Amino acid sequence: MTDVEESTVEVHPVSFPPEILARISPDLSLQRHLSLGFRPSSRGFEEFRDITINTGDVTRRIQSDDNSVKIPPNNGKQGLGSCVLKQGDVFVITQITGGIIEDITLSKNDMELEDDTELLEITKEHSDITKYSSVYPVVEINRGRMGACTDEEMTISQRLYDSLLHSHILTQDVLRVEPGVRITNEDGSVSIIYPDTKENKEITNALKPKKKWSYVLYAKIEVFGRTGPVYDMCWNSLIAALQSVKLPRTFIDERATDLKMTVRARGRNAVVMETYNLLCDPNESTNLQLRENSISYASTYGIIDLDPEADITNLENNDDVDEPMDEGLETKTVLLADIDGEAEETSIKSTISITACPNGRFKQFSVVGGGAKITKELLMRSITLSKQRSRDITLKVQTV
Amino acid sequence: MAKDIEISTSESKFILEALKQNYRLDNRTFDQFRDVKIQFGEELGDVLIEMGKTKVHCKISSSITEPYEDRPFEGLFFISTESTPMAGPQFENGNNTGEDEVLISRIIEKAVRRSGALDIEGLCIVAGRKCWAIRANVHFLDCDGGFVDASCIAVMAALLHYKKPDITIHGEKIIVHPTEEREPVPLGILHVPICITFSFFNPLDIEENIKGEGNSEIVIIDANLKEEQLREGVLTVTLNKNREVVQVSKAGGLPMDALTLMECCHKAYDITEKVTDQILEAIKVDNKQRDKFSAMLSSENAREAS
Amino acid sequence: MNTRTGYLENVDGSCLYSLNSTKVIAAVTGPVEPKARQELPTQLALEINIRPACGVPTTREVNIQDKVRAVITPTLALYKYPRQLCQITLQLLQAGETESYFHELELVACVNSTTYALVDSGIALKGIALGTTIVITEGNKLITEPTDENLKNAKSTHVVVYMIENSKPTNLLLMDSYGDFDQNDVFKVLEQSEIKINELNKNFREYMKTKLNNL
Repeated sequence: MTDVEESTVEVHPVSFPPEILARISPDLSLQRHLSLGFRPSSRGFEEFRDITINTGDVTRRIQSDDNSVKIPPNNGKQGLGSCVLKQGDVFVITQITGGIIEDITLSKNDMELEDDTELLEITKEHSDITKYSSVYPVVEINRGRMGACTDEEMTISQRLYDSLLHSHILTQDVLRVEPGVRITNEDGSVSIIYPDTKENKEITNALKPKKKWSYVLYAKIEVFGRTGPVYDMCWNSLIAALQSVKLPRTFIDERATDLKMTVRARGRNAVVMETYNLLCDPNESTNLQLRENSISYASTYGIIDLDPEADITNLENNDDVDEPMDEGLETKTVLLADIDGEAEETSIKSTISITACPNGRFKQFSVVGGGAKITKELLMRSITLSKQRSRDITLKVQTV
Repeated sequence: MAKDIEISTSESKFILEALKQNYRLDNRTFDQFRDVKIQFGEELGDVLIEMGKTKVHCKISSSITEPYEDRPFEGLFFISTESTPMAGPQFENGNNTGEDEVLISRIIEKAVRRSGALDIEGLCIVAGRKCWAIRANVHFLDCDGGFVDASCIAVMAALLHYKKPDITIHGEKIIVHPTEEREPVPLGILHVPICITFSFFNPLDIEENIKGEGNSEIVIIDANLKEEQLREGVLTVTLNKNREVVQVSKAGGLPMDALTLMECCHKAYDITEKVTDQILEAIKVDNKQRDKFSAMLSSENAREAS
Repeated sequence: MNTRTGYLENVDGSCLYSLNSTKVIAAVTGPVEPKARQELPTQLALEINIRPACGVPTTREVNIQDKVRAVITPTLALYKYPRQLCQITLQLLQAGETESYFHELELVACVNSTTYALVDSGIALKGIALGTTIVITEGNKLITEPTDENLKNAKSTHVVVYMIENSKPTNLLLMDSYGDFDQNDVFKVLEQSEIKINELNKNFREYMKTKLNNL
């Protein structure tokens, strides 16, 4: 017996400082934090990061190498709208730029504008979604290296596009270009007439060509210092930026309204209408009309099962390790708002992302449940929080 | 990850020995083209071709765009062929730069696009401003050899089957009529090129092949995957029903007798004729099925069949 | 809904799937040796590729891929195949919806066909994923398995995927909703889809049973 006693090796528990444990076992580190009632970022379970929003501030020097379609300086800014959003340590900078394209084909909705009742009749039952438009977002998450865009960037860009389209925030009508006409008066002075008044409308209608143009909006969204999922920040930043968009007014010179060009190919001639004769007014712009009651803001939630074995309070109370631990210990599932940080991102497999209007309607709702089971109660809780968050952000954007 | 197909020495010896004795593994004769199965999908221009175990799907799509600046009177026509690991482990995702894959898409491109099978001037809407862009999307689903032949049939059948929406030019504007509103218009097909691939095997050594008097090379039509792996030379001829040679492609490999080429073209012509007729017949049957109501809508008077 | 497994010769598992006008082929190869950069030391790596019916893959397909991955990963017995790769290729033959506006029908078709193909391939699974599309119309009516026209006129569109273990829907794997709706709609959709997915599961088991009996 004594022999055995002597050869027994005493096992010392290995312990790591918290920051090292967080690197080698993010999962355990997160569980330990949660068991104490707060998160690695020292936030509470349902506490969001602080958010600051600034719109319309980003300026750039005027430079355009595209001679055909010029986007004018917008009070000295090239971008049509912008937003700088800071949430926690993450910066999201959104710039809205735009261009003008000619509508090649007549859509059903265009025909309703023209007084072409016969054609209208046939296509009347055509539906909703075709009347709405979206912007083309490009998300770039800066990681300090160059390279092709990642799947995450592509996925977020596409989700932003889809959500914006289906939230019905932008109609095609507001993106339609109503060009004015620049005329040279008898005394040689030049003036631009816009179809604002009835009288002017008649003049421009008589002069302008029958082509139709639309604005296309692009959003360049740059994320700096990513610490976790960024979809909600990109969306909030995009929506805030859109609210600051000013579209330049455009006009056509009266001499250019009917510009034609002859082309020759293989001995044949054809008359081609010159496309690019639309100019942008450097001084005049209009606000982009958004459908106010469709403005919504996004928030993200994570759901995780608390591992009773990782509970620090249990460890301290139960000095006798041999005693079965799982007895009487129930797995508790908790909801974490606004997930952030490596530990939370890698360990939390079930997430909910909600885009809500302040009035409680939803525009986008996505649940991914690869980990903890998502119960009705958790869904309810996240819904309540998302409405609150949406109201908070609305106030922040309005006070800008 | 792309993996080359490996055939064991004993199996390859067996196949070659069988060929020497005039046998093929699938019991076909040397000049026998596999039976072509043509299936049309629900939409226009959606075709699935099956040749033995080889399956190729082709789908035509169209859009309105601007023509190239130097060709204002022509529409656009693209053929996209991309292979995925779905067809077999020898293909890799997003990497279509393999020698075989490039060769396949080049041959189809030459056979169909550069032979002018599609009337691209007929795709012009407003000269220099608007035209149709037609795209043939070829999807390789399952590979058991003969991708070139099957895809060519698939592309041609799909082009013949496809109808683009009718349009009206409305001043400066183009109105595209949905198919339920106005009968869509078929594409202008000028001829139907069909590719036939011949594979060569050398039963004797290489010296005999080059210097020897006899032409003992074995020529088989429409090789399957295993035969393709073992063949030493390949020739693809593209013909149409008008007895015109559209393309002859023999990229190196086993040297062959010049007269064999003529012989191959003759053999290929019979197959071309048969396949062309089969495509046209299949399209006729399909059109009839789609057009169930044409008899009802016809203004023709009912006549007593005497 | 129409399914046919074992459709392709050169892959381990495949399924030709069609529902209304949406048609897709799923092919599964695996477990195979991965490329060095895909290899995971303790578990099975997953490669998903979606090819559209027309044109080249874009961000749209990447987005669908991302969702399919989120749904399929939890169903695989990942730790059974360390340092191996499972390759899933999905070729759409017919979208069945206006591609510039929607991806819902294609997403559900991809998920369901992948499930059939995975079972066909014989790779170890912890459960299966089955999903459905539901739209809510202007008149607050729920339509399951909508058509393109239904989608266009819908107030909101929803995709729901459940995990099925022991032949019961247990876990919500994915809910992806767009449009205009409130919390009651969310719960109504979840309830309705659970009924539909139960039905799909019954079909699935029936199909596999006949398939095994005919072996």
